[in-house]
Amino acid sequence: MTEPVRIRATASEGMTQVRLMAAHPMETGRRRLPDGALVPAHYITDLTVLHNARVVLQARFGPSVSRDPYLVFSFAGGVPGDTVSVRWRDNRGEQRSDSVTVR
Amino acid sequence: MDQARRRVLKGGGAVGVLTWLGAAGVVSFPAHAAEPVFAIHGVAAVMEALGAAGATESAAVEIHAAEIVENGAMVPVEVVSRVPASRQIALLVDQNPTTLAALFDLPEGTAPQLQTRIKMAKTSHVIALVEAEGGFHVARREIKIVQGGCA
Repeated sequence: MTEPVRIRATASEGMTQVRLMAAHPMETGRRRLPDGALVPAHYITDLTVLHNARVVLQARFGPSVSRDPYLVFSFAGGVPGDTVSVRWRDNRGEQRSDSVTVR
Repeated sequence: MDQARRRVLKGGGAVGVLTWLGAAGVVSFPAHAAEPVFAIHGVAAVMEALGAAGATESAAVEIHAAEIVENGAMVPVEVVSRVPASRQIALLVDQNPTTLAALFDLPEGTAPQLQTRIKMAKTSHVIALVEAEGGFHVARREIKIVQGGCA
């Protein structure tokens, strides 16, 4: 099961700032449980942010990105009422897409 | 040449390149590697694979981070580029088992400035590599880690 991406998009002075946090364990595949068992790798490999239908950020992650990946960035344009969406896919093929209205 | 290499890496040809690198003992393959460049170990090898072997140190690229971070599992890092037409930012951690942490493609209109959080196994240099109009610009910064994160 996946959890929603928390997204906030705020328009100001011609730019829209996006803050997002994607709930994900980001397991490297190197961590061991107390009994010595290896926790399998499980991490987001691709994350895309769209403004309406246009891609504004394309990120590729390795397992060195922290648990619950967090990003803050800005793009030109965007007005309140527009849509910002975030899609991700992980190394197990799980996917998720969430969106928010620009404020 | 570098541009051609980048295209090769982005396409299926990367497998051939990596097979060669693997035979040369440069690359180890973790399970489920999403993209071959993430499987390459070492800053120089990753930069080479990205076509950035000749990247110049640039004061126009800045890494903002604390000097000392308690918890290596969650190290806040901000990269700011003042290089015109910055189109890609790569974030590398010298001492991590996985050297390349993240690769960001910035379409036109997206500001070359972003904050994220990375894992660091131990005190290490963090490298921000910015591509702009075919040229590469790099900044390095050491971040001291008190308690290593499982990177």
